[in-house]
Amino acid sequence: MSHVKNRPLSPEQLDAFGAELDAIQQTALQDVGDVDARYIRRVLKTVRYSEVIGRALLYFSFFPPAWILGTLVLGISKILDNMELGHNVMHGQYDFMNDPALNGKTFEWDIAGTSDNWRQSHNYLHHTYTNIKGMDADIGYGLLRLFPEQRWRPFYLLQPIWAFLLAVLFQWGVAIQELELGKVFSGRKSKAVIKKELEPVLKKARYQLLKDYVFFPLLGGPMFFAVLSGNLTANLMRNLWTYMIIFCGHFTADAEVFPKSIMEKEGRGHWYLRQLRGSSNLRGGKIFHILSGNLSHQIEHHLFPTVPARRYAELSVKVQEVCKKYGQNYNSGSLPSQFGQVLYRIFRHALPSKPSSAVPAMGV
Amino acid sequence: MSLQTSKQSFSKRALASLIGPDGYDFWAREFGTTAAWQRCFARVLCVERNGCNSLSIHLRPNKNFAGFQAGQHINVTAEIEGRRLTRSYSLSNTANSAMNLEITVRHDPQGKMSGHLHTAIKVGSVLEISQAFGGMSLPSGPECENPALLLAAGSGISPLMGLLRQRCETKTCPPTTLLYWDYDDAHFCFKDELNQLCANNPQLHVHRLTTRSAAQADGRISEEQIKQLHGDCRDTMVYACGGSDFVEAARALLSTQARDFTAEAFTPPATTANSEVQQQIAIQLNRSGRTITVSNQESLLDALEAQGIAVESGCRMGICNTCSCQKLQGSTTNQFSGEQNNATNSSIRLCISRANGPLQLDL
Repeated sequence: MSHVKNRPLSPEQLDAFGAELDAIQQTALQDVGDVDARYIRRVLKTVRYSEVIGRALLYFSFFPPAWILGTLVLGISKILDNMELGHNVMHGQYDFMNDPALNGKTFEWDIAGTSDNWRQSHNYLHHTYTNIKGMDADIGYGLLRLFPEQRWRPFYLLQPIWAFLLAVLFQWGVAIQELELGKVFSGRKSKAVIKKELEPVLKKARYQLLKDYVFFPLLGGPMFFAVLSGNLTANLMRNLWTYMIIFCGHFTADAEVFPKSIMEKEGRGHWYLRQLRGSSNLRGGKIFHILSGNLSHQIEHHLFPTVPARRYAELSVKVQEVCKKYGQNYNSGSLPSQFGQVLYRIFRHALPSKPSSAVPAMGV
Repeated sequence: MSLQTSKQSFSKRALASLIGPDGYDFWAREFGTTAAWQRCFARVLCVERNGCNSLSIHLRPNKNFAGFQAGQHINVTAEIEGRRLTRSYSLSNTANSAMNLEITVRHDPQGKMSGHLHTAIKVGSVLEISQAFGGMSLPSGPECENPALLLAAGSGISPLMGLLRQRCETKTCPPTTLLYWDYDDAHFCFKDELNQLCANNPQLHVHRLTTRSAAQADGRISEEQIKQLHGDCRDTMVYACGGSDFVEAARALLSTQARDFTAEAFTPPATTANSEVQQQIAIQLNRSGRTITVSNQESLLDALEAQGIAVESGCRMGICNTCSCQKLQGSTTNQFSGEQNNATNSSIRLCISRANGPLQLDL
């Protein structure tokens, strides 16, 4: 397994490792400026224009190629809005611009989940407690068993089905993730609390449903069903795409999961090491990176979540050098290879499995 | 989506519910208008070079701008090198000029914003502005007939020019004296207009005083000078505007004897605290209206929490952005990088920032 690929580090080496990564981040942040501002403006522009073009094309669906093209353009617009724009803006990567339209705290995206919930579950919990069992709800999204360290239950026997449903409905899965409905069913969360939490979630969900499945289709008049099905397909495209990119980021063969005890006395270097070992990258071309919101550079994103994502590609060269120097595995592969490993995990850990006991979880 | 529903037309609301307020603003700008859902944008109508190293910029705000009174100021925001900067400028025209705002900007070689406004702003450019604010305005009713003494230092002339123009708009200008200090003759603004106003209004007296003139310096503000040029101040409403030293000097001389004393200083330069020395610093929380004192040695997040102020926070190490908030004014240091942030209206993460001097936060 992965552990043999990583050299154990002494406390001094860990400090030095952390310091080198800090320096990489500092250099990048000092250089942030108008190039990044112009870039994200261009992304925003592309999202807005492609949305209008996609939606407009759907109104000409009596000509079938217009439906196909419209759906494709709208789907790409939604993917860009979700990944390169929304995800990265909400990390505060573009807060330096002081633009209220691109402010991490107030940005709202075209997705079922509320930005506020996502800022809590993703920016805070997932990025602070990456791959720590019991802390990071992104491990299997409360639905899947992806690591042998997770306790097996008969429910997981059918998890290929659950995984498929999660992929198809991914934005809705993320939308209710923060509600922790499991706790409500098991009685660990009161009705009053869930009622209060549901309010903004339902409001956003209603808005999203009305927009894509009532308002815009109605504007199409006789094209109602063509517009509706185009919107549905575009949303499905985005769900499958984001699911795939996000699962490849943390659940490949070499990705590690950690026990809560790892946080005791966790220093900066150790925190970096955990981010590195819990994440995995995807290789691809420039357009692939942009459409994945540069989460194809999941490692760099987890090491430097507040650095504008367009810089991850150039940072990855430096990060790989540091990894090589300290004998750490830099988990990277093609999309088919990495996603194949994810699928293997989904199928393999549907059945009972045991963690390999040969090496301690974190060889420090 | 939190859409503000009051005072918005139905069509605007319908459009915004489909494309969102940000989408509304985006497309309004793409179509070249200054319209916006809530924010105020203004188009540059004309730019006048005043020959005193300063520009007068006339702006037409969009419909979201709620109007102003002479003597108030607005925040002007422009994007410079990818970052939006905000600076306050006084309005130098009167409210009668309806939807026309005039700001006067002196070129400061070190100032990013004034440099930008001097070089990059042209007729047709669009700037974002705030609503007007500030309490330096003339009284209404019979009180406006009281004699007034206006004390301007340097750019402090801008809001006082608004007050002066307003007084001259009435049929006969009530007794008014303007004392206007600047480095030397070349720096005085509004020369022709002030001469013209004096010619038309016998009760208006304008004195220009130089502080660094090679030919003859009149010196800084003093009691004798005011006595000599204006006389007794007992019945006078005094308005002073300039740098903080100037305003404090004027206040010491006149605030007890004048009928009214209203003063405004430019934002003082950010004090850069030596981080080795423990200091207590005042933090103004604008939204809650509170002012608290914190140490410059601890992070703002720790300091706020220690005072019982609950702030949304997450990782406490600068990665998750949960605690980010707008710093409206003042200087902070990023504890992680040691970098200083002196910009008005910029986003900071409270968990890794500490105060260098007095701060205003949007909390």
